[in-house]
Order: sequence, then structure tokens, then C-alpha cells
Amino acid sequence: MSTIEKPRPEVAVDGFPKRQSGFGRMITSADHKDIAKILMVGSGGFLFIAALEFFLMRLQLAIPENTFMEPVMFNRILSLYGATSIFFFALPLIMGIFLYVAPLQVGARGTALPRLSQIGGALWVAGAIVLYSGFLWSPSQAGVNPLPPLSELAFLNENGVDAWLTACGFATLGFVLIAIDLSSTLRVDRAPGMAWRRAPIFAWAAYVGSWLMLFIGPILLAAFTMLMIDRNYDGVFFADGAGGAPLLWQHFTWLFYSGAYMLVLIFAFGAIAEIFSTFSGNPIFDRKALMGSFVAVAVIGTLAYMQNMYTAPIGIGWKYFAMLMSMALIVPVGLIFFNLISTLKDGALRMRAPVLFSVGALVMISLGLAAELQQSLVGAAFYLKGTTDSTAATHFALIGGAVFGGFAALHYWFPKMTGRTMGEQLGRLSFWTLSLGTLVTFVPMALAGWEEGQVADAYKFFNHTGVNFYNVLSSIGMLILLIGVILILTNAVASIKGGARAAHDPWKGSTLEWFALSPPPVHNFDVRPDVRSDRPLDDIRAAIAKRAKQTEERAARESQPVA
Amino acid sequence: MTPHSPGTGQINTLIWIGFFAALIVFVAINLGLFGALRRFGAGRGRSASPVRASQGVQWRVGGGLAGFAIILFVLGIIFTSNATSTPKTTSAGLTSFKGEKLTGPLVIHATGQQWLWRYDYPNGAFTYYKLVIPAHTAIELDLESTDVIHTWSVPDLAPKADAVPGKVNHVVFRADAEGEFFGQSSTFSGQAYAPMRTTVEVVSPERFEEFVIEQQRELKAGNEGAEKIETQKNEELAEFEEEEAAENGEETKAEEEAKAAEGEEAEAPEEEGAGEEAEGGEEAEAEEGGEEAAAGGAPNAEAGEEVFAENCSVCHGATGHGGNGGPDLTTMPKAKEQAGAEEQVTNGGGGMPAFAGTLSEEEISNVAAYVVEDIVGGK
Repeated sequence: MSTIEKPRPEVAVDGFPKRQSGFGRMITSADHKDIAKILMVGSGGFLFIAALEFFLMRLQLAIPENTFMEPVMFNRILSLYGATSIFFFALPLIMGIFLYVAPLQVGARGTALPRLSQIGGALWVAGAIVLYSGFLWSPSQAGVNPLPPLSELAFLNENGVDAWLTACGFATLGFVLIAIDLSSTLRVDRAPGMAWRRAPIFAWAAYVGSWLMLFIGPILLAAFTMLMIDRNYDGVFFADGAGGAPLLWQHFTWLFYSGAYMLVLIFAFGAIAEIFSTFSGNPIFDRKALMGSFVAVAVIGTLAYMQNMYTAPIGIGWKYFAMLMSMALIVPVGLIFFNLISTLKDGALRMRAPVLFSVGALVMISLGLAAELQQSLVGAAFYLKGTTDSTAATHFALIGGAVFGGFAALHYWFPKMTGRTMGEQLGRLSFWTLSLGTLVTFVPMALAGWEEGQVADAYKFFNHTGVNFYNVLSSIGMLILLIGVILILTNAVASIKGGARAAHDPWKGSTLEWFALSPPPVHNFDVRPDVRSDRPLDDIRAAIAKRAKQTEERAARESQPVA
Repeated sequence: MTPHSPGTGQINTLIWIGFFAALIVFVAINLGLFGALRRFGAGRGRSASPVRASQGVQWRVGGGLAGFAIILFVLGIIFTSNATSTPKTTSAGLTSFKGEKLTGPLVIHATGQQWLWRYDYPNGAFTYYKLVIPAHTAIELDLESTDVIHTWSVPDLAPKADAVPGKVNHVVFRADAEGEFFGQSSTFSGQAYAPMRTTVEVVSPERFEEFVIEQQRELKAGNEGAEKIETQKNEELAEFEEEEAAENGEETKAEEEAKAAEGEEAEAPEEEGAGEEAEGGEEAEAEEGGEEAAAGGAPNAEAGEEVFAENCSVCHGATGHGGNGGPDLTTMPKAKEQAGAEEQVTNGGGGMPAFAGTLSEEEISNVAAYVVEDIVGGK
């Protein structure tokens, strides 16, 4: 893509900058857009890998007592999948889109602390390399969340667990650094006149999300460090019998995982709010309520983390507290849904792929959260926890948020990032394939968990337990889902070079990122506009139209012969 | 799940309450969403005419949601506290145990280890895999773990609960129907997590007492035998031989001695013997056993095979070539010689539980012999 770079003073002083290959420039760049691109492209690759891993596990679980895979192999893929889906697909995709879009939306010329983001991106790449080079020697078999004492040296003395912790730790540290950069940028670098009440809702989501990451990331890093000390320097943080507490790990990590879950939701809701507002032509229904709800989701949802520990030997009061928080979450999440739907209502529709994916995301998230609601009742969790029902609920919400929400956002901002639109036809095809795949995979899984109590994470299930049909159906669904993932990634990759060319403002958006060129130059904006309302681009358009009209009138007046 | 206890009945009700709450939420959201989309279609082409939000709307919607949440929360607390409260032992249940009147629930200890459950009954008897309990009796299960975190879960009878090392978790329940109930551990615990199952057999109170006493008697016999071997006193050994009608343990030893004589594995008998002073006695035995072994080596392997089938095949597979989470024994260096195999079985390690308290030394040497000769040796 060629972009028209405005001449800048430095060029005259230092001569023309040396030409670099696109790749060379990208990996050495501290520009938030380049770092974000690395994160987004990487997470796209990991989406495919995660889907493939899940598909392999479903292949093993297609028929009862299958011997397709050794248990050790299954557990390794399970552990890899846990790390890949969260730390190398969902979170980097979200942080990447936040990092790309949010500074543009607030009219910043760059980020406040670009080197932090650069280190963050490099750390994430390092983590990815560690995780998948671990695949070559002896990967972790400690499960999705490596609970001690199982993940202690006494039970898994291969170095795979260390590699898993290092990889996810690197990635998390990267996210934390990026979150510092992002929150500072959004705090100090907003365009003149852009008070928070006028800031785009997605930028607010990025701000809340960054702060959330700043709270939960270090907690996870502390837990990882402690486990590494346990494993490598005879520590006793999580070993029982020496003053250590296995449950401590659960408090730390479930806090992080719950927070990350909320981060995914906040991201998806923020992106969907922008998309609905743009494509319906309506302003966001109640901006203040939406902004407040995001904060409430971040705080309350994270505090509900102990709903992952309903069967653990902790006091019943703590379980009720977690249930209270889960129930309290109904209010902000309900308000978000209400405001999003109200934004959509009575608008002038343009039904394009971003809207389709947004609707899909809302359906999947509502399904997942409704199922989580059932499981956050303590008594119900006494049966449902640890079954495939809980796996399915989590996947509905997170696939809804990260895959559907993520690709809604990508479809929407793709023209800004590349100057081309993503293929509409293939986009629709991949949407329906993904939707069908998700439903066929996870609905039977939920039923198997609820009706027959099939346990999660197990490498096999037994014949005559009434779950054969559900499992084979779920495996077929996963094949469809995998095809959907391949389709959507193909669409994205093909559109980078071959998509239809898009103008700078293809959707007639009302936020500032559409004021920049597509793709934006390194410094984003030549002019930082004064912001006077929450729809700055509408103001700019109106001003331009007014100016054009004035010029026309003047021209008409001047060309009129003096009578 | 089909509830067979008062607690699980409450749990099941709460699950259905949760389901209908979830259904309401899901249907409401999606009706709203698709309603808005349908109107979207109708309004195509015309310009947007947004409804302006007023503060009142948010408060009304939020208030409605809060009411819904509070109702669910209260229902959740009511049914959960019902499900976790200690049920009463009914008159049909076990009201007295070994002549003593039971005041509280019958306490049974359950210990999780990779990858099986051990149940200790009040009179000292214990069982593996299968828990036997009296019907109509309040049971308190004290869950502990010797290694990693396991979740004890028998959905039809009781709420599931985690066994965490270093902590005791309590489950109280009362089974109202006799029969066998199936359960499976539901916290990822390593290689053989999937087949880590348990069954609960609910029997009549009379049958329960019979069972426990029977179990205890068997155990006593076994323990006494084990102790006698451990002290390694010739006299007692001789007595033991009479009592137990000269079983197969000696033959194992005999074979080892024979091997040692061949100079193949000189250290094997030393490792096996607990005390040096016992050497003489052992050798004496060995001579006796040797004759028997010469008469036929087969019974020895058979005895070991039985032990293997009961204790080891859960993980190592029926043929010992792995499959259920344990490794293929033919690939393990320790399984190549008697001493190594015995040490591994006795002390455990590498994810394998220690069998020192579970199996007698005799059984251990039997099973080690079976592993070394039949599985690894490929007989």
C-alpha cells in the first residue's frame, strides 16, 4: 500500500530516510499500529492453531474409549490449547485492536510510551516462540490452568511446565506493558476538547480494559513467579505440608482468568457499540450508562472469581459472596445489552459483515452468559462445575466475544488498517459456518455435561454412559468450526492485498479514526481537530459541507455579472 | 442426574431454576435484538430517527434487572443451604454402629490419590474404588488428598467437593435408595484422570455392618501377615507359612535366589530383604521354595498377575503396555529387574502411588516378579 506521506521537517534536515522492507520496518517500529499489527496477525495464526488443537481433542473424543491418542499426548494438547486460546489468541487480538484503534479514535499522534508497547509486543512474540518451541521437546501436561500440586515438580518433573509458565508469563508481561502505554495515552493524549464524555465508547472500553489488565496481569505474574520458584528453587508457596497452600494459586489465577473473561466482554461490547452506532446512523443510546456499565462489569465480574472455586474447601460465605457478585453482574450486563439494542432500534440499516458478526457475537455471548448464570448458583455448580457444560458455557461467551466480536471489529476497522475492505461474500459465508460450527460443537457438549455429567478435560469417555451421540455431534461441529476459522482467516489474508479498495471513511463513521488516512501515516494525523461533540467527524463533515457551500455561493456571486 | 438423596434433590431443583432464569435472559435479549433487526429491515432507506434516552429508562431497566438478580440470589442461598445442611438419619437407617448409638452422621474418610479413591470406615476397615454406605443414614465424607487436587463427585447422591492436600473438605449426604451409583473425578489430575472413577454401593444398614466387620477381619489377617514378614523372624515365618498354607511369595524369592546364583542380578536379594540378619532364614526358605518352584514356576506368576489385575492395570493397562495413563512397563528401566520393580511399587514416585501400606511385601514381590518376568520378559 502506498500512502501519501506529507513532507515533514526532518526529511529536509536528515535527508530521506533509508528505505526498509515492510517487514524490517514493522519489527523495529515503536509505532502503535505496527506493534498492533504484529499482535493481530500473530493471534490470527494462533486462532487457527487453537482451533486445530481443539479439533484434535474432539477427534479423540468422537467415539467412546478411543485410542487415537495417548493420554499424555491429549493432556499436552489440552495444556497447549489452554495457553494458546487465551494468551496467544484472545488477549493479543484484543490488546492489538485496542492498541491500533484507540489512539486513533482519540486523535493521538502516537502513543505516550511507545517503547513500552514495543517491548510488550516483543515479549509476546518471545512467549509464543517459547511455547511452541516447547512443543519440540516436552510440553506441559498440567492442563488448561496448571493447578498445583499437579504442576509442582513432584508430579510433573519435565521442564514443559516451566516453558508453559515462561511463555504465558512473557505474554502477560507484554500485555501489562501495552496496557500501561495505552492507559497513559488515553489519559493524556486525547485531542483538544475531547473530554471523557465525548470520547468514543471503544476508546473508553480500551481504557477500562487497560486498567483491568493492570490489576489482573501482575497478580498472574506473581503466581507464575511463585510456581517457578517452587519448581526450580525448592520453594513451598503452593506445596502443602510445608506451609504452602495449593488453594492460593486458585485465588490468584481465577482472579486473572475471570478478569480476562471480562476484558473480552468489554472489548466486544465496546466494538459492537461503535458498529451499531455507525451502521444504524443512531448515536449510542445512553453513552453514560454504557460507560458506567463497562466499569461495573470490570470490577464486579472480576470479583466474582471465586465462582470457579465453589467445590473447594473455602468457607460457604465466600461462595455466597461470589454468587452475589455474579448476580450483581446481571445489572450492568443487562444494561449494556439494553443500550446496544436500543442503539440499533429504528435506525437506517446497512446490513454489512461487521453488523452480522456483531449480532452473532451478541447471540453467542447471551447464550454463554445465560449458561454461566445457571452455574453461578452455588448449589447448581455442585453438580455442573467440572462438567463439559461449564466448558461449553465459557466457550460460548469467549468465542462470542473474541472470535465473533473480534472479527466484527476486524471487519469494521480493516479498511482503516489496510485501505481495503474484507470480502463481503466470504465474510458472510464464514459467519454462517462459524455460527453453525459453534452451536453444533457446544450445545451437545453442554447437554452431555448437564444430563450425564460428562467431565471436562478428560482424554476419553466411557461407553454406555449415554453421551456417545452428543460427543460425535460435537466433533462434527468442531470440524465445521475449524472450516469456518480457515474461511475467515483466508478472507482476512486475501483481503490484505486483494480486497476492494476503500476510501478513508467507508462506513461514514462518526469517530476520529476515520479522519485519518487509510492506512494512517506514522504520525496518524496532520491536523488534530478540535472536538466539540461526541461525534466529531459529523461536525467536520458538516463544516466541510458548509465551507463548500459558502465557496460555491461566493463563486456564484462573483461570477454573476454586476447588473 | 437422577437425585437419590435429599441434597441432590435440592441441587436438581436449583439447576432447573437456574435453567429457567437463563432461558428468560437468553430469550429476552434475543427477542429484543431480532425485534430491533426486523424493524431495521422495515426502516431501510429512511434516515435514522433515534429515540433519545432519558435517565429514567436506565433506572427502570436497571431496577428490574436488580430485582431479578436479588430473587435469584435468595433462591440460590435457600437451595444451597438446604443442599449442604446435614440430613437426619431416618429410623430405617443405621442408628447404632457396633452397639454404640450414633449421634451425628456416620463419618467416613475418603482419600484421593492419583488415580483412585480410598475409603476408611470408622472401625478401621478400608476399601479402594468402591464406597459402601448404609441407606437412609446421614453420612459425612471427610475428603483429603495425598497428592494433587481431586474432585469427589457422585452426582446422584451428593454435591461434588474437592479433595485438596493439606485441607479437609466435608460432604454430608443421605442416600435414600439402595443400589450402585457411579462417580467420576472432575478436576484434571494428570495422566489417568479420565478413568479415575468410583462407585458407591448403598446397602441396608445390616448389610453395611456385616460388610465393614468382614472387611476388618480380612484386613487384620492381612496386616498380621505383613507384620510377620516385616519382623522377619524365622519362627513367625514358619507359623505364617502354616497359617497361610505356604503361598507364593517364597517362590518369588526362590527364583531370585536362583537368578542370583546364576550371577545375573546379584543385588536383588539384598534389596528385597529388610534386614541383613534375616538372610539365613530367607535362604532356608529359598531352599524349600526352590523345590516348589522346580515343581512348577507358574503359580507364582499367577499370584502376581492377580495382584496386577487388581491394582496396577487401572493405570498400566491389562497387559502392562500402558494405555490408561500409566506408562508402558516394557519401556521403564526399573521394571527390568526385581529390585527396581519392588522399590517402585513400594515407594511409588513419578506419579505412581506408593503401595507400601496397601499391599503386603509378599504381594509386592509377587507382582514385581510378574512384571519383570511376564510383562517385560515377555513370557
